Amino acid sequence: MFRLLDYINPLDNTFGGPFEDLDDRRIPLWMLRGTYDLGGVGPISSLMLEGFWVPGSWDVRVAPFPPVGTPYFPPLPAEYVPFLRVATPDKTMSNSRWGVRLQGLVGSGLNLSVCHYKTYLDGPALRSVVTRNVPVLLDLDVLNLEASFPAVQITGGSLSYWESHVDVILRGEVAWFWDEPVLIPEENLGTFFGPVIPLPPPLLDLAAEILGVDVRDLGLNGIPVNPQSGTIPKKNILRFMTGVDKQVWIRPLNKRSTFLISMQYFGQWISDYDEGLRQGIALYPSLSNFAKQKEFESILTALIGTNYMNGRINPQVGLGYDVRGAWLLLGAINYVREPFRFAIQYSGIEGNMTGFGAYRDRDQISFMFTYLLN
Amino acid sequence: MRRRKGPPVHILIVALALWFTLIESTEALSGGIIDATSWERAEGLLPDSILNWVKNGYLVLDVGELNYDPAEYLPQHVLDSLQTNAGRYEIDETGWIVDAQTAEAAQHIVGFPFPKINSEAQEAGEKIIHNEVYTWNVHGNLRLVFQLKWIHPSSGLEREIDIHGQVAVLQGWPGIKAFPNKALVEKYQIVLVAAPVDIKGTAVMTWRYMSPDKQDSTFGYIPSIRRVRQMSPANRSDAFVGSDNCLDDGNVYDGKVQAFAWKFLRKQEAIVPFLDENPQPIEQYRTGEWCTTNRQKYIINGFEKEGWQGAAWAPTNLLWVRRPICVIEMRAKDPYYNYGVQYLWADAETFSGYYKVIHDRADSYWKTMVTAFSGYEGKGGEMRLTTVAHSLMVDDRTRHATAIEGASRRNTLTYFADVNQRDFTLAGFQKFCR
Repeated sequence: MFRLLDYINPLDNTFGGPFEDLDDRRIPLWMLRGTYDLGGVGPISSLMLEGFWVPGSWDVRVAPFPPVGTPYFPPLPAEYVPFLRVATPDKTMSNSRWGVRLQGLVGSGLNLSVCHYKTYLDGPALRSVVTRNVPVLLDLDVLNLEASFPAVQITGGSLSYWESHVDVILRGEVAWFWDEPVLIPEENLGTFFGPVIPLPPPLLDLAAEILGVDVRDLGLNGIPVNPQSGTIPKKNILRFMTGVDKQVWIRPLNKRSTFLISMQYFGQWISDYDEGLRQGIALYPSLSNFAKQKEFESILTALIGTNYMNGRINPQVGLGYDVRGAWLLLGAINYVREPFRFAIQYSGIEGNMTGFGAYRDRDQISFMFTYLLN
Repeated sequence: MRRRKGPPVHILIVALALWFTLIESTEALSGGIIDATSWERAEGLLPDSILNWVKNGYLVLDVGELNYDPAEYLPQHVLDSLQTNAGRYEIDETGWIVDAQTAEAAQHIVGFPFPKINSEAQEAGEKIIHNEVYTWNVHGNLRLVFQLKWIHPSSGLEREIDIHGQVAVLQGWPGIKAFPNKALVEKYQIVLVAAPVDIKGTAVMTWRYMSPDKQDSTFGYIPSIRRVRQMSPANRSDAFVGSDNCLDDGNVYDGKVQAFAWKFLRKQEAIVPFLDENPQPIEQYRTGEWCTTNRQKYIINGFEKEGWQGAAWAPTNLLWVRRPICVIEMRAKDPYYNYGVQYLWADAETFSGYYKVIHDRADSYWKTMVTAFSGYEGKGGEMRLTTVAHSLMVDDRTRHATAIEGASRRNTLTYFADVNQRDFTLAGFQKFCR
């Protein structure tokens, strides 16, 4: 559900969204990839340099914008739809994705890596666009809501370490997202925050009837004068994760196999924080009210799973908690009967409309049937 | 009352009983079928659990003789080690194999480290197990293709996983001197799931150290998250991908020797499974590797044999022969280990582990592992070796089993394989992770 240093491949969230397996959503890219073994250097053994390049003239696919009305996307107000334009990157070499990673082992137990790469994030950057100069915004045909995918560079590192005394795997990742597009409505949607010719309420009612859009819902009380396109503000954002994995015997529940317990903490800090920052999803049904993006954000997750009947039944339960008050509960059982796979999964989200809470009205039970050809 | 002259009657009865037992035993081993109607003939020659399989009609033993001596079907450096390593190594109080003269950690052991073992000595069990572990090591680097088969007792094959593996062995064979081994590694190992497609690409790399105190380093690649991660080496008694085997059950015992307390119990004769009365062919490639061929005999399991009345997991065409074996008791030092006491039956001459009888943590009987061996011979006898041909773990509580198909016409097992040690670095491992 959360990615830090594995943002290379875009995800197809148009079916299943965040409730689907990450691997099933990943869009393959044509890429060149290489690994060079550097051997040992000082206290670091197994040092390796790894690189990838997705030539922009070959492949610049980005995450597809979910179709309007799909349950696998937070609700998009219908009023936005006619104005929405999705701008994907051009197929040019300058739009190549690329990256390098240096990985090694300190002692026999500490696995470290540092990396830097360029990619496109799945969430588009939004802004209002006025397609031609007009003195006043009377004709809504000149107005677009543009969803674009600016390139982002990411620098980070990861570690994993087996702690023998308590037999846990400690994991950590840190990633610095350079100039990531963010949402400050006054800037992204600047068209609506400039000077206006105020109109009395009866006229606004009439305009709403004629245009099909009540501009008051956009925070306007009149007609924008000399409307300008919005701009995309950018911030450096630090994201990090720490986690532990532990296999434990819970013999009253399973005498043959251990339970794998995995817990993670995800944190986010926005440098040069602006009080105007908002999350990129309008609080439905409002058109102009967005959930606040805080300077620090935190999410906790936990997952527990095991297997029964010689590995044929694999139950697992997951829990996510956004400290701003959103809960995610996942429960799944997979059953293997060769050559078939059956899966039943429940996903439920409760709480505030923030982060994954934006999906709070999208609880689902899903069944999956798979037939393996080989 | 006058006493009769001559031997007392009870001695005569005992002598007669012994004579009949000998006749029965000889009859059993001279050939023929042992099944549910004649299971008594194998009494005392098999672990009780396997005897019960025969008694209940799950398994039928075709008893015969080998046309070769497995103790002679060992690579030349192993045969040499029976002399050269006699008394050369010892186990110190910390569990290291040390040079008996200098008391320093042994670094280049070729052949069996303990070819001559005093069964009275306290460390006899541990030495036998070291030799048992070296029955793999003496064959050099390995490249393996095998299948793990889930077998239901009546409905047959439930599931099959294809596994590819390669092992760089840094102890036990003459080639080790060419490899740098500053970290005192015993072996590097990569295991890769090749099928079915939903778990294809899952890979695990293990570094096994010679040091008694140093736990394995284990790295796993999980395709769904595309990451190589450290894994815990501690849960070696956990069911391996849900099968009846755990990681330590590989080749009867594939854990660290020092992780267990070993106790030599007895030496006896037993009947043990072999693939065939004759050694199977192996061929040498230009690279110097020795490979099994598709001309070798393969196992027919119960579920594959028409009209078979026994258990679906029972191998139906093995040859059961008489061998001298040692019975070792093993108990994990890890208090969380999922097995209680286990009994391992290993060959007294070749140290091949044939049986492992596993009890649960309450020391109540649970599972039995059976491993069938075979001799292999290259043209003109240039190479001879004895190694695992088939392995079977039967859970007697569920009657479910997991078989490992090693020797077969679709699998090639490569000994003294041309393996690049750099494959076992993080960068090398990455090549296998797709």
